[in-house]
Amino acid sequence: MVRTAASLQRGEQSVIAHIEDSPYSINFLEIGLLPGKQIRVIQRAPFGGPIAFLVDGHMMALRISEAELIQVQPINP
Amino acid sequence: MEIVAEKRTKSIAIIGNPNVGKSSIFNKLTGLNQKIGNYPGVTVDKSTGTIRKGTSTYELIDLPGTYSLYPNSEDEIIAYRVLTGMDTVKPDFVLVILDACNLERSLLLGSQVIDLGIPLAFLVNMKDLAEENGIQIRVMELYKELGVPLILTDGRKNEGMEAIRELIFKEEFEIASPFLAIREYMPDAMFTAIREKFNLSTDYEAFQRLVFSGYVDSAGQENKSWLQALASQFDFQIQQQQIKETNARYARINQLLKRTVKTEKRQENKLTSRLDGLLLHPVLGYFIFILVMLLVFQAIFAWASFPMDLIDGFFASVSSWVYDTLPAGVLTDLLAEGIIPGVGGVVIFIPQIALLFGFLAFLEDTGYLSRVVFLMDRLMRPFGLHGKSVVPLISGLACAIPGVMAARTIRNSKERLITILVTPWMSCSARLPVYIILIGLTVPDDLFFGINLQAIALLSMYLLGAFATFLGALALRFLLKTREKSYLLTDLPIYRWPRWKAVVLTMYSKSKIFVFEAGKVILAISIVLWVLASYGPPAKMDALEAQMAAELANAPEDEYTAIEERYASAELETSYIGILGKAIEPVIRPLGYDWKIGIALITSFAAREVFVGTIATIYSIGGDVDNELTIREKLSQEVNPATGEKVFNKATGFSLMVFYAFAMQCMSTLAVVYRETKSWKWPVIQTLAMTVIAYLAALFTYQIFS
Repeated sequence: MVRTAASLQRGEQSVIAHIEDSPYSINFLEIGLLPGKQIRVIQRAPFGGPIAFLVDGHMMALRISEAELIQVQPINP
Repeated sequence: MEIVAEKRTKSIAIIGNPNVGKSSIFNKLTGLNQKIGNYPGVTVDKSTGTIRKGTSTYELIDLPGTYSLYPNSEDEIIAYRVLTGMDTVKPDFVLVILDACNLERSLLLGSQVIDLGIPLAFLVNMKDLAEENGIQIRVMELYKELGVPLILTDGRKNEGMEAIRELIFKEEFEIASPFLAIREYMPDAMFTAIREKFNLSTDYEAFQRLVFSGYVDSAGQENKSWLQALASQFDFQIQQQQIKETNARYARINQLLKRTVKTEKRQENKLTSRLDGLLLHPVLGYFIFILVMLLVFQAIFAWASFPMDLIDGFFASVSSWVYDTLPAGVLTDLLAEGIIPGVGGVVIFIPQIALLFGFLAFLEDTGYLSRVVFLMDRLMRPFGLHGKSVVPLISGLACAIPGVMAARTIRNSKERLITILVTPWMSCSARLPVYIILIGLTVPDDLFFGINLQAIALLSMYLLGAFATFLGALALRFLLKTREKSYLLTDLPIYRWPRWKAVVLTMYSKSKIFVFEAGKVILAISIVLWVLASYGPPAKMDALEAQMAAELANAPEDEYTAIEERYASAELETSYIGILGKAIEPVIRPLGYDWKIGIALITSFAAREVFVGTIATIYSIGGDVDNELTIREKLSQEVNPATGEKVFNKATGFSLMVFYAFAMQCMSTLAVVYRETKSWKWPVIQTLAMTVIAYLAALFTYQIFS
């Protein structure tokens, strides 16, 4: 089963495998969310709010709907 | 034959990712007062400065922070327009600021600028942080690979500044060969056609001209349709090709970085991780945010009151000094009753505005404000707002003008529009004097369960404003249609210690914006108001004057003042503004207002705070300036001549406060909304809706309390 970044547990380290096409594909790219990067959840805002990720050492915040577009895989498959 | 070449100052555009320290470098180079930010999109207005050495001068243009040259937001469109010379002459050179800690991402933008074919240089900033993180950059190799001069800098300290200066004055910028073979991403025939039509010198410019066609050609519809026709003729999918282009860029960048950058074991920023554990915490994070907000309120209400009282007293004493010292006449009257109180009415808000923006700049510079977006997004969403709406709404507590401007950081046009439309309902500082005077008149200074009733009343007015803001946003969410989806994808920069100088500069520049934007309107209105209140239809005015002179001639000297005051009041009623006030009286009567309050409503249509000044003018024009009674005392004595009841009773006072809470009485905000939405449609709708709602709410309030 394909996991997305939205389903990651806090602190769980994984790698971006693929980013699904969406109207903001270009926004993912330009902020540096690319396949192959390590990704980890730092904090989740309550009641389904945004998720703060650490992506290759850089912190960024995404809503769940955006995080669901990011497919992840374990760090050493 | 002698040829006199036109001498033009050469210009250098500075561009870089958000939070890369771009403005910091700009400030160091130009020494110009300018805002420095740590929050996406702070430098939105095109700010320029000059750098001089001997006789050579260069103009520096600070472009908004962007991640790429794609039409994602206003900022990127501005950057594109400047770099390609759509509005003015193309800049002669470009300085691209790269983030030493994130070269991959910053080179995406850098490589796009290379391909536009402008002579450029790279500044690799934040070298200190990169060193801490174990990143080693081989500058020489990178220079050889890119063909672009490269300087390592640290904008927070002074490192590399001398080298930049030298590079600029020696003009060591270079045109690098294209980074990406863009021909692979669009048919040759299209390149030829676009380059010919727009007279472009590089292929990438042609590619970008097409990518941006939907955004920069909204005025030139012909160009837009020409480009769209061309795209469909070749079945060219703009977005797909853009993604391909970006992926190709990243691929090349990563190859390049493998050879030129060595990263030892990556270390996390310990301070940032630890702080985020606390500040982004699902419970503690909100608790801390509330504490921070309370501190901000404490500052703008408690700390600011001391300088505000000083300013108030100062202008009052200047006014009476002018009155006493200058020879009596029209000019002195205009000065003492029109201009000085008018200027004072603007200056008095500076402490609150400076403090609020000092706090915001501080929070922004530390990196905290981006976290507020994270914390608040979920709360804002149901109301059709965005996490980034929080800053405009908080700004609105001091003044809606910078609040409306701050909404630019919101990329979704519907959320941005809603934010712009509802921000004026947040209780701005111009409403405060109105509330204070009316609460003083109508709410007893008693305790209710140990809390001052007047304080409760004031708090209620602020809550009413916030409530209206969110309710209005909710209504707009359902009224406005959009096809754009809302999203949140934002950088959370590392925490850094704020630069105090930057904070002070922000306080200064925001106060300046306020004084100039709002100030000129308020000043103009107070002069117009004074003229309207001092003059009336000549026939009637002259008759009154003659009548007064006749009465004075026959009266004993000790009755002079009483007679003059009686006639001053009569003259006001006959004046132009009195006529206006009487004209709207039938409309405002159901709200419990008489024609004098009507005058205040008319004048404060330009700016709310004029209410207090107007009321003061209405009751003091022609009266004794040395009269010991304050405005409040005068108002509480005012009775309705017909019924003998107090004019400012509870019902009227509450109804007025509610009216001021809801009505759009601020010309400057209107002007800014026009500028930000680029049409008269929204400011007009906004004003109409707010006025109608204010009228109905005031009517409702009056009927309940009377």
